Formats: sequence, structure tokens, C-alpha cells
Amino acid sequence: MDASQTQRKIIHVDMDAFYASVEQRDKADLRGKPVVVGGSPQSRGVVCAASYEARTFGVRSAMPCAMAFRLCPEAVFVRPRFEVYKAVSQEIRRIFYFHTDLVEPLSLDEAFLDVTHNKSGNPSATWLANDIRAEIFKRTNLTASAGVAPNKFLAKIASDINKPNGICVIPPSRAEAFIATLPIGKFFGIGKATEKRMHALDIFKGADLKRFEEADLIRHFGKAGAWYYRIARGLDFRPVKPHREAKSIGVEETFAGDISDLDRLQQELDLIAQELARRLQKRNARGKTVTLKLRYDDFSTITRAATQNQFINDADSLATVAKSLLRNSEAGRRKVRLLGITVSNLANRDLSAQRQLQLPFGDDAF
Amino acid sequence: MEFHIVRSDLLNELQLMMGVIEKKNTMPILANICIKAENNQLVLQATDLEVGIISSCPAQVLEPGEITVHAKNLQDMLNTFSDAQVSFSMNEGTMLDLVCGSAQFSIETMSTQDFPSIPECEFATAIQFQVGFFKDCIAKVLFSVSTDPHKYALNGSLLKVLSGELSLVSTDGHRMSVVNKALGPEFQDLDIIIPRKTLLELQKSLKTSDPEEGFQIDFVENRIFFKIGPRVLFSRLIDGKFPDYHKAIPVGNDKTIIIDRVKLFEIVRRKSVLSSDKSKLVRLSFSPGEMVVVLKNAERGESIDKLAIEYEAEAVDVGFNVDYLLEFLKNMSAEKIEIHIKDHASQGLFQLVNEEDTGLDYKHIIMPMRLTG
Repeated sequence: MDASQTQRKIIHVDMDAFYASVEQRDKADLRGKPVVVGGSPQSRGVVCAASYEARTFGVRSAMPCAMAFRLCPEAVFVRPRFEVYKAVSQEIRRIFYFHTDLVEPLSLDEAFLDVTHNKSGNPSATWLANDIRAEIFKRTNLTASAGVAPNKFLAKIASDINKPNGICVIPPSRAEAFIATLPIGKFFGIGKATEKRMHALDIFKGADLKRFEEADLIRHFGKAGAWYYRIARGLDFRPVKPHREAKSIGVEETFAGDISDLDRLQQELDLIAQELARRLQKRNARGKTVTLKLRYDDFSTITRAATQNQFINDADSLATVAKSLLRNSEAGRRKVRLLGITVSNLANRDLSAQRQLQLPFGDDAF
Repeated sequence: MEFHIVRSDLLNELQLMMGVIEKKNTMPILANICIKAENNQLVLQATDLEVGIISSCPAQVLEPGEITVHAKNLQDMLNTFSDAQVSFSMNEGTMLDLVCGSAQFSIETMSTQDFPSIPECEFATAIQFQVGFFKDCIAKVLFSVSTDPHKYALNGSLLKVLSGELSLVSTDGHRMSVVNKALGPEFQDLDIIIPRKTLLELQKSLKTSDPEEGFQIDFVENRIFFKIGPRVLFSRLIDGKFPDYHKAIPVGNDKTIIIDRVKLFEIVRRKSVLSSDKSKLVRLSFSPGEMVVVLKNAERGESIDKLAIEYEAEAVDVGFNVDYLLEFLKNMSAEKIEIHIKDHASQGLFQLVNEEDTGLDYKHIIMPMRLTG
């Protein structure tokens, strides 16, 4: 294995059933019960998080709430309180920063830490990971799991192994053996579809994957083939990036009832554009590409994108583009369940600082 | 149908018409040119449903008739011939035979029944403009037209005549070009938006005409017709609301700078070499007698120039998109320009000094880019 690989010490910290655990922490009557964070079972929303009690019934994140209810009728459904989760998340990040500045948050409840050179001078990443987990529990009364490994790919897989409230260490010496027995579906970047195609090629475990030449993997899987070739050998050189900049920012809305009226859909787009503009402006972000996402009543989902000449972030421009994209869909003829607008191709900070001002045409829209 | 033509006559017309031929394969018939042979001439039509051209070319017609053929193929074939005269005739089937000397082609045709019908325009109530004048107006505003399909109403120029005063205006929301000229009370009022593509085609047609000649404009339904010499150009109009452009014309820009246009053009062109999609800001720092022009691109490098100017007032900095400055300077012919500035966050007003006395009032307005630091 490459020397630079063995030198790094990466920890992946993942909070256990984060949203649901926060709810159970704050509401004593929820403890020990199956808890589903999301919409009500009658609503058309999806599950944001499920407590471990609920998971034993098969309830999973991103599942429609109505389905979660059928699986586990006794579950308590609670609305998410993102403000609270965010505050807890910041508290946890402060603990990370106490040990290293190389923190790459992946979401509110998980992050990569590069502790190769940590501030506490702790030579053992395993001790450090346990210190961090203890500190998190002391300050938030919530449990976290951790994976310790020489790279991000292995650390992320490791944190899942002894969940909840566990730690798993994959030292460089054990990396290859670990990967050899790892089911292919557990590999980062291999989803359900790729897993199937791998099975068709008789690839079930890491060891099977390692038998393939790089060229063959590229032939079967395109560019991703090169990545699969490397991770089969435990090679992942991706650095922990402390300032992960968002690649896109989006807002979507599932309606209480399917909408077939085009005027109403356009009004909904106005509202979504306003919320999106608010989020973009808060981050001082602007983007060139606007993507409209649309889900019909049969759950088939389409996206339509348009790239502008200019970076935009105001509600009017976003709505104008989204509405013109809506005309390229079957909206109005088919019932629509969900609409969303995403802005990508974001301008970096330099540009937003030197950005183009608009001619003052007042309220005249174009 | 059978006729003879002079090859170069037909090629010249085809050349002019290729601009409106639909290039995307949406409707095959739109890639075709419609040919009607009658009264010792060919009447040629091409359209993409938005814009169209009706033209003609002298011919010796042996048997009248009409047909459509693929315009680009026809042009390519005519270009491979060497003799002056080409004979066209329909054979028994649906093929059109072209014979030039010993060379021969047979090409597929489509019936004129499938060709879009084009309304007749008699030019009975036409307005007349001078070719040279209008060509100049188009050149001064065309580059500011928005090409963003989401800003539909800005995808063309506003042509307005009110109480005998003409205005031609284009904007993309960041910059704006405005031409004004007093025409005289006999002119009828107008308020239309002419699409960018139409202006481009009109510009081409006007260039082939004598600048001193007149050309005519008339309307049928929601279409505008231009009669330039023997040719007719027609187009749909943009059915949208153009913003009230008066709102964007700055007032109270109290700092006036006079600069040599060509010198500034060369400086700005130099800056554009270093610019990139993410780095368009060119900073103009004006102080009495001198200006400094700077473009910094963190990824590529920086460029600084100094230029003597006529300027008396206090120092002021303003940033503009390098492309906008360049296009303005490139499309003008005046020797000197005047820049009127208020501050770094208000519109800059650009005007021409001592251009030939055409009675034309021209304003170009560019909104600044926010300066860092």
C-alpha cells in the first residue's frame, strides 16, 4: 500500500438515528418507543429519520410516512425541528474543531475528521475517536458511532459496523483483508443499480472486484470503473475538505394533494422560487443552471434544466426560468405530486463579490 | 416545370436566404426553399416560421411551375458547377434535374402544398426609412439585445415612433442602447419589438442596398414586412411588454470624461485576454488627466494600462464587465467618446462625441459590477 495512505488517520463520526434521538432526548415519553420524524401518517411526506425501535419494524429514512405507518402503526410520528438539530450539530462540530481544523461535515449528523496531526497531540486515532464520542455524549446526551481508518472510504464504512454507539477501527494492516470480505453493496458509490450489474459479473465481495483489471472495470462502468479499481485495493486519496462548498442548492415541495391546474403549479413555483432565493441570498450564492424537478402522481420523476448566461439568485428570475421549463413538461395534462427548483453551477465567492448590477427598470418584468 | 438561370444570380439570392433556413431538423420542409417559375423569373421563398425572405431572380421560363428543394443541397450543387448557365427541369417522378454543361444532378423535391403560406403584403400603407440611416441605427443597438430565451420581451429591439420621434432600444438587463431621432410629424406612431434574428437579416439585406435609397416597412396581422429593393423580408413580432427604458437612463451623472475610442478599445481588448467566465470585472480609475484600467484574474494574472483623458473633477473608480465595454467600443465609429459617471454603483452613460451630424442621439448605458474592497 502507498506510504501516503498509511500515514493518514481519518475518523468518520456518525450520530445514531440523529433526529429521532434528539426527539427522544427532549421528550421523555418517546424514549423506548418507535419514533418516526417526518410528516403525519396521513400526510404525503417522507420519513426524515426513524428511531432504532422503529427500524426493527422495517421503517427507513426516505420512506413515505403512510408506508411507515402500515409497517409500524404504534409508532409515534413527530414533526422535525430542524432549528434544534442544527444547534445540536453546531455543538458537536465545536467538539471536532477542538481536536482538528480538518473537519468535513457531510450533513448535520456526520462528518469526516483528519486527525493525522491533531491539536491534542494524541498519537492514537482510536483513543481520540472514543474521546470525541464521550465528549459528544457528555455535552448533548446523544450517542455517536465512529469509524477509524487510513482513508475516507474505509472510515465511512467502518462507522456503520458497530452502530449504534460503537466504534470500529480498520488499521492499514487490516484494510485489504477487510475489503476482501466486504459485500459489494456496502462500498461507497455502489448503489442498488450498480450492485445488480456487479452481481451479474459475479462480483459479490471486495475480493471478487479486485480480480478485475482497471481497463475491464472502465469498460463495464465507465469513469466510475477507475474508482472501483482503486477502492478494491483500499486506495482512496480524497482529502478531508474543511470548506466543502455546496454544488447546488434546491427547494422542493410535495403537495397535500396532486395538482393538475397549470396556474396553481405556477403559483407554487413562485413560492418555491422565493424560498430558494432566500436560501441563496443568505449564503450569498448565485448560480447559472436552474433545474426544475417534477414528480407526477404515478411517482415518475422528470427534471428539466436550463443554463443562463448570467449568475442569478433572485426569486423573479428563478421563477421565470422554472415556469418556462414547466412548459416543457406534461404539467397541466398530468397530475403533479411534487415540484422543486435547484440552482447549480454556482459562482464562487470572488464572483459574487464582484457581481453584475441590474439596470433599474423598477417593477417592469421582462 | 422547366427553366434556365444564370448560376451566379441564383447563388447570390440563396446566399442571402440561407440565414433564415431552419437548421434544426424540426420540420423537413423548412430546410427547403420554395421556387416558383413564372413570367421569366423565379420567385424564391424561405422561412423558419419566425422570419422569412421572398426574393427573385431572372430566368428563362420554358414551362411554369412550382416546387420546393433542400436549400443547402441546392447551394452546394450550384457551387460545384463551373459553367454560367444551369437548366432545371422536373423529370417524370418527383426529382428535379439540374444540368450545367456536361454535369448533372437529380435532387429530391417536396410539394409546395406543404410549404408554409406567406401572407401577401401590398405595402399600401408603408413607412419609408433611408437604408443608410437604419443600418446605422441597427448597428448601434443590436449588440445589446438579450439572447436569454427566458427574457422573451428583450430578445428584440423596441421600435417606437411617438409624435414623429423615433426610438430604437435594446437591453439585456445589464446594458442598454438607445437611438433617438426626430423624424417629423408625418410619421405614424409605432410600438413594436423586432426579434434579434430579424434585425440581423435586415442588416444583411440593407448592406446590399444603396445607403441613399429608401426601404419600406408595413404590417400584415402580427407580421412586419420590409421591402428592400427587389426583396421582401418578413417576420413575426415579439408579443411582449418591453420595460419602460426611460427608468434606466441615468440623470445627474456629473462627472464627464472624454476619451479616444480606439485607444480605449485597444486597452480593453488587452484586458479581455485575461478575463474568464468568473472574472469579467475591469476597473476604471479616473483622476484629473489620467485613467488607470485594471483587470485582475486570480487564476490567470493581471493587466494594467494608463491613458491620458480629458477629466477635471475628483477621482472616481467604477467597475464594468469587460465584454460589455468591448462590444460598445467595437460597434461604434466615433473618434472620441464621452463617459458620464455618478459613482461606482450607478449606471455609466456612454455617448459619442462629434459623430457626423446625422441628427441621431445615441445613449449607451452600462450597469457597473460591484467592486471588491
